[in-house]
Amino acid sequence: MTARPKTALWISPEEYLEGELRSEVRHEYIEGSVFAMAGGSRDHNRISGNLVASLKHQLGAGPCEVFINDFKLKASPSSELFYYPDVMVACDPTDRHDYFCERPAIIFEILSPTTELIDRREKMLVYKSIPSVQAYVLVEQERIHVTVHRRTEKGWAAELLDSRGQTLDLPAVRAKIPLDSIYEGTNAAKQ
Amino acid sequence: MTAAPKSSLWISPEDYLEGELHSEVRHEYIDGAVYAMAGGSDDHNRIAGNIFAHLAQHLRGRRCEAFMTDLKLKASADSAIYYYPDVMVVCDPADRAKFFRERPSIIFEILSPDTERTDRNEKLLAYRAIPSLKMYVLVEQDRFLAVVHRRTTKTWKMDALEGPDAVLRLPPIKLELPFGRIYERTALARRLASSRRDQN
Repeated sequence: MTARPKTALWISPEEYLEGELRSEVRHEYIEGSVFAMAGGSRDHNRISGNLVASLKHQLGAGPCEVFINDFKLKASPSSELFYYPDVMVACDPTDRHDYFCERPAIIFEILSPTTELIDRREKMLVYKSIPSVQAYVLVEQERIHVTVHRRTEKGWAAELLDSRGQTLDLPAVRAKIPLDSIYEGTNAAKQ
Repeated sequence: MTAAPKSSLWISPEDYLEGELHSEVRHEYIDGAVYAMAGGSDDHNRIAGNIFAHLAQHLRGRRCEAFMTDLKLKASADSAIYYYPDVMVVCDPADRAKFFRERPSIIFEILSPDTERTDRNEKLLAYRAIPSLKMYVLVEQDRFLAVVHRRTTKTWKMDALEGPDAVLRLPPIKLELPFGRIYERTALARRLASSRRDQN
């Protein structure tokens, strides 16, 4: 999902949120600038769908809820920014603005060639700065390859999952997702 | 300057720093991952060089010092990060590791299409978390435009400077840098000079 700065002018968070209600294209908002987001591929959509299906099933009627694609995340590492994470799990009942989430527990991004570096670098720094986030999961599209950044008592730790039969364990929300389920129906699963 | 992930394995900061001593390509380091940096354009080099030259001349014999291109900046708030800023000014005499600086006063990045978003967002976030930093200046290559982020007593303020006659003010080192000097010899400056000749 490519992002491009739309204008050099500073836009207030309020103007941005108001604009997003009517825009045909989603935008991310960072420090007064607005970046348009391109659409994703077939496999990108399959993977986010697989994640959501599996998570919804496991989270059931518990306190945690799954959000996908067009629900914003608001983060304030130093000033305000808004992203559209691919998939989020949020468990805090007091976090309930209509158009954005501020305290997710788990964030997933499915990597695309044009935005991989943003997901691995910029968003990693931002997501790690959100106190409620327990894990940030990056899922590659073209091969079975999942990087999990987990908050631990000693700081953040990275874990790599890259073979069939492995399972992504998310103890913070009591969910376990086999890699075979994440990649179901994708080209990576057929290789 | 494009960055590409070199490996998905975690690398320690020590191994990264050791590797940079022998590497033919510079790499940035972010939380265990290493990203190669591509080279820049002629105008990128001219602008960085022009800024550095004026800073170096102005700062001769003073406490503050200017560095460019291949001295690392260590930026570690929650994460371990090493970048290579295009130009930085360092005024803290205690900040003097051989291969990096940690407490710069001013940082300049010259924008390239491939890394513009990194400079505008990721690096903005990382730089603003450095307590010593007073200003972060982003200079565009293709038009006379610089975005200046400045620390104020309470927060950060952002201004845009635009047009060939703009002047960049750097209060922390008491210097004024006219755009005419920053953009000297660039394609943009040559186009401006020829259009001004045509008008006369």
